[in-house]
Amino acid sequence: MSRYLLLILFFVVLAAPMALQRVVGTRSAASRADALTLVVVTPHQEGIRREFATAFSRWHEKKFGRPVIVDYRSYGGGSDILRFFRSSDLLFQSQHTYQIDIAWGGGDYLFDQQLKKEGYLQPLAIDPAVLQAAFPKPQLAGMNLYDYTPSSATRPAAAPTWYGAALSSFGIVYNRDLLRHLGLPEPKTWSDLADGRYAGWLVLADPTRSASARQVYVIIIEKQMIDAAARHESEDGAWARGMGLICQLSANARLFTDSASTVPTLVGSGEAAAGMAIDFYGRSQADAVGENRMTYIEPIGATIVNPDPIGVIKGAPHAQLAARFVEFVLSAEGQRLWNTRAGAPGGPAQTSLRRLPIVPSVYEHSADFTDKVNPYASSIGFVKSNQRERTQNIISELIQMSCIDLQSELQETRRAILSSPRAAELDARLGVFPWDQQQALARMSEWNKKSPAERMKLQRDWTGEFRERYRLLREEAQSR
Amino acid sequence: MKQWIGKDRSSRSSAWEYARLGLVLALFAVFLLWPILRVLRVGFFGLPEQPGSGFTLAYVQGIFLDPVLRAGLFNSARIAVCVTLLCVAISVPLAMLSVRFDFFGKGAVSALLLVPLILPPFVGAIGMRQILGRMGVLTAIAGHLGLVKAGSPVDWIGNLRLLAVIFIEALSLYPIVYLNVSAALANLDPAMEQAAANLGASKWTIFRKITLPLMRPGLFAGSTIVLIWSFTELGTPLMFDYYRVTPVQVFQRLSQVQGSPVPYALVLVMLVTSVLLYILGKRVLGRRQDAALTRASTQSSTTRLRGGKGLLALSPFVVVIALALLPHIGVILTSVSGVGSWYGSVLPQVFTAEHFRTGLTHELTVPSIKNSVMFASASMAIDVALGLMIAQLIVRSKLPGRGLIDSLAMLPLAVPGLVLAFGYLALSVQLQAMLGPPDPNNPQHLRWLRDLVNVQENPVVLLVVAYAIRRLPYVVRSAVAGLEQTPEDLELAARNIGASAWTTLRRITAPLVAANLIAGGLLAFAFAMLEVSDSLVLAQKQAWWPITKAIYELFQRLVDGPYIASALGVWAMVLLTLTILTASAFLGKRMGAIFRV
Repeated sequence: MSRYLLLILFFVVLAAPMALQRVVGTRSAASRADALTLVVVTPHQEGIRREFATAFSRWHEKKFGRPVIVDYRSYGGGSDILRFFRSSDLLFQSQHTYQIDIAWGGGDYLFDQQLKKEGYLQPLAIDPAVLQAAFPKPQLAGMNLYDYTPSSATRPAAAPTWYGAALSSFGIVYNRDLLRHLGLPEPKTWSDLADGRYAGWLVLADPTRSASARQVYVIIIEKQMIDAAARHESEDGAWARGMGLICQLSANARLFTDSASTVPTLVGSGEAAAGMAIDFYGRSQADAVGENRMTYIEPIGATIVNPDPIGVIKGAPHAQLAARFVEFVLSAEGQRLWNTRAGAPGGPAQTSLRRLPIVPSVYEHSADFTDKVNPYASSIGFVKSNQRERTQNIISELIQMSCIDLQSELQETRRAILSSPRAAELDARLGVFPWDQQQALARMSEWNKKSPAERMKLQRDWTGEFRERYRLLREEAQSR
Repeated sequence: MKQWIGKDRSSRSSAWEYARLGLVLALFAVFLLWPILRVLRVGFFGLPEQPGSGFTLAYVQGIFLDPVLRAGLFNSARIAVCVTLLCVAISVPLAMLSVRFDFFGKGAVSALLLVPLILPPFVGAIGMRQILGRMGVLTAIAGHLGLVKAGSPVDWIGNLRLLAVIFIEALSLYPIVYLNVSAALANLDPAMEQAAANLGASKWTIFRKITLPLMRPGLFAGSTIVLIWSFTELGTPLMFDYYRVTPVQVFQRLSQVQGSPVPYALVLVMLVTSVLLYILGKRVLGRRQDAALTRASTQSSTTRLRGGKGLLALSPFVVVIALALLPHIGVILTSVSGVGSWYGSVLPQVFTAEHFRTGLTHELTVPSIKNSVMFASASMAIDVALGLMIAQLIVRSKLPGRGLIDSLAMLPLAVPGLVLAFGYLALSVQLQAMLGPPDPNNPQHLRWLRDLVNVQENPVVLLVVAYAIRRLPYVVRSAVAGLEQTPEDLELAARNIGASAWTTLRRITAPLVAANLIAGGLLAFAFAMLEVSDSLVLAQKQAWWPITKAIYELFQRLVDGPYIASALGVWAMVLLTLTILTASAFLGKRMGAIFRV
């Protein structure tokens, strides 16, 4: 082939996207010289970023006469965002800004327990009328919808540091073909996935790396405790059964993914038969591959809905614009973008985002909504209690030590148990964690007091305890 | 010949050498050691935000006391050794065949052997999952052949994950050994082998006593890179869910919500182990030749193989290429498959061009392509210039400290990309803090410097430097291999008749090692275009995203993300193939010396 032909070909391929974009592509609206800039850090996916940026610029231009370029910064997931702020403390001390206006998305734990507690968020008081319209009630099923502190006689309510922007829930995705192949009934709730026939067919998300994954494990434990309370049994003991259930699920796991969004993809492609998923990932994937192959369900009374927040960052260079963005996201116009079908009036231009709005009033006009789910009308969730979630700061570590790091030992043990004549008895023992909630809390306070070096030793010792426990159970199962 | 050079000139040239040594050491200190040390510090002192941050060996010690982490190190070492041996076993016979014989289709297969180099990283995993997945192509084929019940899933990898990791890594890394061994064989003087043959040596003896020792620099260059690469490789074990290897343990702990010094201590151990592996490899393979090395005075003659013999020579190439192409085929078919329509079937059930339209016309795509080409070209230029300079210091000078430079130049291979990327991020923050806030009365003062070090606003400088540093080892190793096979006498002769150091470099040294520089430069360019960790961490502002970051972001899209990423991956593959072919067409014989096209 002539070398010049090759050279031409090289440039044709290189230029193809540019030419194509001119012919059929879309160009971002706000590239005008008078546009303002807003810097937003977010783990939201590309569709959400694009649709909200376009709509906000249009809204802002209509109201204030100038378009806005939303300059998104992407660091990865919630933990990466937190790491960015921690590593920029030095910069803040010198320049009094993180050069970021807004953090958006990543779950309420990131905002409430991390960004707020570590002082990265700037309190923002919004117009009481807007607040009242967006959040007629500050809570849903025991969960704060924004950073709400009730005012008392001595102290007025502090301005919130974050506001819920959307709602998410958690459920189960499963592949019907594979369930048929495995001879399994369709799962209804979390404990159904502990069935030994799921061995090697479950996909779980790693709670140490995904805050939303951890939320699912917290829900599983809390559900056991609620059921125990209803039967007038000890909640502490039920905590151990919840953790034990997680161990049995882990024994069934084929892998632990690093992000919760991968779970539905793997179930849809037939890599796994079932997994635990965030609502909108599960619904979208099931819709795309067809309900006859894959489906998403929410265990009735065994899940929760929680807010996905937005907040202004301390030292924001464009503080006023940031406040307007928050106001827009909480407005009916912004909220409708979450769930309205792409192309429908008031909806996103290109991509259906399929997330649940947090403002209850927008559910009154839901004709064009992609998913006909109203978390305010149906009571899919239970009422959360912080009392039951006291161990949530150590749950990830416990799951890592007892389940993820020892997964092969755990799997071997469960296999031995299920093929032994004492299967029922031994599996029930595996299904109860060796510590109850009180013991776990004691260990947690021990853990919290230790230096990182001492924690390493503690982690080794505790992992050793779990390994020894699995070995003993395995031996019992194998002895005839 | 050396004694002919006057004393004056030799002292001047050593001053010149010292200046270059100083420059290289300064660059390494700022752009390699500083970021690494900032990260490694945590391995000894703990995270700054956590209490009790005094010096301690507890973290490093803890790694060896922890059975899980210990097993990780052992498995990583096992993988590294097996992958390297497998790569050598694949590459050496193929390189020998292509150097010694002419046969039908040789040009095509020699070029196709490099296909693993053009596969974009996460996209490769999508491709492999489609082929080896439980409801993948292999399952569908087995169903059609009646080996399994049609429509039922098969777990091909199952418990053989370690083996799968080794095979896939070897199939993606062998080009590095192949390129280096081919370059060494191309530089080899056939007169030596002919002389041995004339003296009655058998073919095996010639290989053992002549060819193997003479190509040792190339073999060393290629296999050390593969050894260290596979020791620190993250993507492949992650793809096969094989977690008990050190790089995965580092990655998982590094991305944990709760910060911990353990991953940093692990990096420290990994780094020291890599350097030890490198030194060990150098002892075994890299001893410098004492025998006078002369460049080929005659072109080595190739034997033409016809008919059955030609096909026999072709077949090992075809087998290796077919296996290496599997992920590419997976990616290409995914890019034209309807969402969810390639499931339990040999081919997708619905074909569409929609993913190409969406991907290629997306507003993220075009700017990121421009950025990537710019970053990769700039970093390649830096690599070639710096690599040749370093190689000259290592091979030609007698300066103390050149051994140190040799090891330092390999260090980037041993540091996980994420660690170096975080190091650069910290570097940017520290430099900005040193500059302080802008003066409100004179905001333009030092504005350019502020912009230069502000990775959030403009990561170009740090990204190009990061790309260049990370890919430097390839260029250094191939340049060193070239110089070792080129007699110094030619350069000395040039200097002797009055040529300046610069003229000698330009007119004598660079042309003589051009084949090696091109090989190294191409690797550097291709890998920079496909670079992931630096791109994900350092390129935060959308306007500066390189193509890998854009692919990653589009990959996260609900539902059609993997398909769009595949479409862009196919585009990147085509572009990189054309890069290599065009370079080869324009460089003519010099390129031919490497690829034997």
